[in-house]
Amino acid sequence: MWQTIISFCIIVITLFFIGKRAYRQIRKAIDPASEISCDCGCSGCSSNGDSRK
Amino acid sequence: MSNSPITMALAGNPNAGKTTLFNKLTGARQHVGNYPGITVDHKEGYFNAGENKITLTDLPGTYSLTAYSNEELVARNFLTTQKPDVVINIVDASNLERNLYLTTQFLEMGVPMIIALNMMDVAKDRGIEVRADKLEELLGVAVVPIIARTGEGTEELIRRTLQLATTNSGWRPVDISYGEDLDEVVPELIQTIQKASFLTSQYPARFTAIKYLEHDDEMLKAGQKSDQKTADKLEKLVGYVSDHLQKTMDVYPEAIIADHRYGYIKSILRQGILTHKFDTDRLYTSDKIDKVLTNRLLGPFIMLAILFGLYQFTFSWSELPVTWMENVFGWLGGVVETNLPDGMLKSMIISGVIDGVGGVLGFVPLIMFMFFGIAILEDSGYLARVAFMMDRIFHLFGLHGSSVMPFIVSGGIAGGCAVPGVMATRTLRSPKERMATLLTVPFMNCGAKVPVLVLLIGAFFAEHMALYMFLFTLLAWLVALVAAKFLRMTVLKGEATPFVMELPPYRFPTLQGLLIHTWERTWQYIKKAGTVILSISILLWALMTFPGLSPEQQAVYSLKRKTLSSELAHNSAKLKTALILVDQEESGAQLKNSIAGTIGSFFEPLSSYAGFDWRTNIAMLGGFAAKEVIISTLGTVYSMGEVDTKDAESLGDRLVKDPNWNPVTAVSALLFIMFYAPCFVTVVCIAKESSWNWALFSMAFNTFFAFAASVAVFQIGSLF
Repeated sequence: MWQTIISFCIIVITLFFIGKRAYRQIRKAIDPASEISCDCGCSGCSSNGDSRK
Repeated sequence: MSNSPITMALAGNPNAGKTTLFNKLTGARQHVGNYPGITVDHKEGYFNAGENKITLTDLPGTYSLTAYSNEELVARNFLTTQKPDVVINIVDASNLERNLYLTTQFLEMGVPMIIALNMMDVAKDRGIEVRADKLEELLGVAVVPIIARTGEGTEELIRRTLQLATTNSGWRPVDISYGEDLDEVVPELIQTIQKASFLTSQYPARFTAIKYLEHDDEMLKAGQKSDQKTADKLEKLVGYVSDHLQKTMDVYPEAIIADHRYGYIKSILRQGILTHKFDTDRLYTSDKIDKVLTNRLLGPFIMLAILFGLYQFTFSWSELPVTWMENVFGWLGGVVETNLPDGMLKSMIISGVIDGVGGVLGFVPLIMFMFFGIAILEDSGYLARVAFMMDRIFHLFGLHGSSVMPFIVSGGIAGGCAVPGVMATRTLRSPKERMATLLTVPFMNCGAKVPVLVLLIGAFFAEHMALYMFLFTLLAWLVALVAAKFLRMTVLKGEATPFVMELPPYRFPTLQGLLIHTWERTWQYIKKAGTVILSISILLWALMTFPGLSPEQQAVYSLKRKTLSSELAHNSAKLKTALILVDQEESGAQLKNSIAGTIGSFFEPLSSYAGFDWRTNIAMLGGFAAKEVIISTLGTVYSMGEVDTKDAESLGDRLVKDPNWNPVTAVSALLFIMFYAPCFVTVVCIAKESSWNWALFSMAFNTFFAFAASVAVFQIGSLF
């Protein structure tokens, strides 16, 4: 029972995380003033905003 | 032509002939004074050209537009405050390389400019022939050969200058690339400047950004005076990138910028601008190296050999560490299997996390070695030469040498990303060439696709991994170029534009720099695995778990077990084997009955033509989120279909043992993975850089093409 509860909690948190990320990317696409920066998480970027800061 | 007064400025290096031309044009109609506060001459004169009255200012001779001397400051400030209608840049034809350094800065500024190529007689005496028409084509500004001393060519110069002045084309800065590190930060600086309208009435935003990177004192002072908050923000951003460059390449941004300006000039001059009649054996080290590495005949072979060598190095050195990683995750799975009671969480951790994400993380050593090799090529300056050599080939396919860097950044050598590749297409001047490049860069083998390719090649073509990786890389380039040609012949028809690309001098990479660059990219890979891939793996695990089998379906398997237990009660070994088979059958049925299994099965009638079963379909669908998810999904799918996880095999071994997989299926899958719809973030980026129509076109076109290729390969391959 406890395994089921924990699993469901993890799934909900995961859905929230994915939804938030997808929403951010789509917002960047719609907003003409913003850039799709390398913090998309692509492994090909040599650095991203986080690593410079 | 307009009758209103036209203002022109003469600018150029000292002793290029500005004053000679100034005197020739204005004669006695000139006034000499001082710029206020400094002892620099201010020379202004007047002359008539037809019905036009022209005010001509002779600016002080300068080698650049930095803030090191009063003359430079005067020249720069005059241009930005007075904003003359045209700048006549006098260039000494006998000393072109040095003179063009100032020209590149005018191009960066975007001033309406015409180049007066002076001292043509001196150049001729020195055996130097200059192709003004070619120079004009490459720079994108009018170039008029003159001899100011005699007045030869000045009529044509004035005619074209008036033409430019009355066109009123405005300031159009040219985007010169300063290398990956600075090219990433310049858009951010520009965005900050534009948002705050920071000094935008005086300077173009890009010019301000570059001056900040050059740590230009006057610009910094002006910035602090105008808007301290924005100035501080810009200085902070520049500080970070400056520190990063110090650590990785032991240089400051201004040195990189200067190098790339000279690289830009060199690239122009290499294209037949100058012909030396007399032997000039004054090659610098970089030029000597380039003579071999970018030789017309040898260069491409050397390039292919280096590429193959990169893969050979990557695969041979990473083989052992990858096996260790696989063993670590296998051991981890065993620990969880032993210590956690059966249940949903245990299944999630083993199948979703360990077998899913572990499959992606298992390739970290391989990714590290590959990035190390690519860092050597980048930091040494060789990648820029690759772009230069590819220009000729790219023109055959309706593309442009400037398209090469977006291709390389997207994973042309393997390990890049399509997102910065798409953004790198901003340097392309022609909109149609830009669109063709933008739509085809996703065909490259980005860093996310590499582990998937390695998994399948390693499983089915283990003996010649480097060779197959090399061939698939070349295939990606070929397909991208053919697709670009198709687009340029149909929906994106248009003229080709000349190519200018920076060739910075070669550098000897530092070990520290290489390690930092390698670690930065590897960390991105690990971070993505631990965040995006992990969350998608958990989600897919859930989709592969629910809704599970109905009580009636479960009852069928319970009955089977009961029957077997009574029939084989006398033979415990046979009973055990039979029960394991029932368990596997039940697991497989549960998986197929799940949401993900249902979706995968829905596409199976179509995908079977390409050799893909419902499990592979789930993986390909997951790949739309991120290509690495293909591995984690396959890992989860095969893990959930398994009963005995104690003897954990690698995913590659599981695929080889699966009767639905064989070398033909593997090639079919490889082609599909390489060419189908780009990942979600890339699609969003394409939409941002062009439109959602093009982004959706990219998804549809790529997927259709990939599927057609896979079907062709599978159907033909299955005959043998």
